[in-house]
Amino acid sequence: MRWKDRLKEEVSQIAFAQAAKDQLVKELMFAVEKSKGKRPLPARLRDFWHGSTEIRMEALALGLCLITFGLWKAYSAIFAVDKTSALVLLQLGPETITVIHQGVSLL
Amino acid sequence: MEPLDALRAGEPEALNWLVNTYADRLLRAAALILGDGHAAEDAVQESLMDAVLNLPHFRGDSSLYTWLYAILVRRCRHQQKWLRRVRGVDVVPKGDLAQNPVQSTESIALRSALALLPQKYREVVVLFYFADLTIAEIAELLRVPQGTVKNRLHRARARLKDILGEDE
Repeated sequence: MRWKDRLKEEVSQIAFAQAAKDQLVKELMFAVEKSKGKRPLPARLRDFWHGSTEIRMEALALGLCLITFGLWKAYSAIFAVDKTSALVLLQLGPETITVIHQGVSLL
Repeated sequence: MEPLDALRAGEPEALNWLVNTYADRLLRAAALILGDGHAAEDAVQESLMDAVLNLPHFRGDSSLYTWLYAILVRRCRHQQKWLRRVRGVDVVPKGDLAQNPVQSTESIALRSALALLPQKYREVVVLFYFADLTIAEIAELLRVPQGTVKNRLHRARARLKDILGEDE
């Protein structure tokens, strides 16, 4: 018998169990139903979270970098020090300090 | 209703027909390409899912059978890449494609010989000999010229002949 006939005969034993086929049909039906109507965002987010979507580490790292960069660009202003305000505060500072004579100070 | 329309509509009977007609054939091809029963099952399940969800884009230029194999080959490549990334080494199929505890030395040699072929050769051998696709169909689904398919087939046969010491 030639090699391809032998291998063909051997692989003919490979098959899905009927239970696995039934499960597959159910999953396909669910997928079709899901794809038919546009589901609301929370439901889609929940599906994504409970699903098994694979994301490459490089893509994830790049995405996180982009998000960090975007947030920094948007909110970095709140960390900026206005020199004029700082100077005014520094000048006012000593007058507003309340001297504590009692208690323990940790330096 | 046409079978394709019924499939697009997600009718249980049509999906049942799809799975019962093609799942085992696809599984055999995937098992031969990947050499791993579990990876092959995953590849087939994902291929059928892709097929059903992408049926609206299926133009019908090729037969459903050929189209399913095209999806399967892409999935097998993806699976191979994923295994390579996860295991950190180049994955060589082990040839443990059947859950058959009794394996003759001959059958192990046969599987090993197939597993030793480069993936692109293994794909054409499986599609030509086991999926019974024509050279033209294989060329179309692999998106390569027919000459390339013939060449790969010729080289694969020569290598198998060398390994097994017999013709075809």
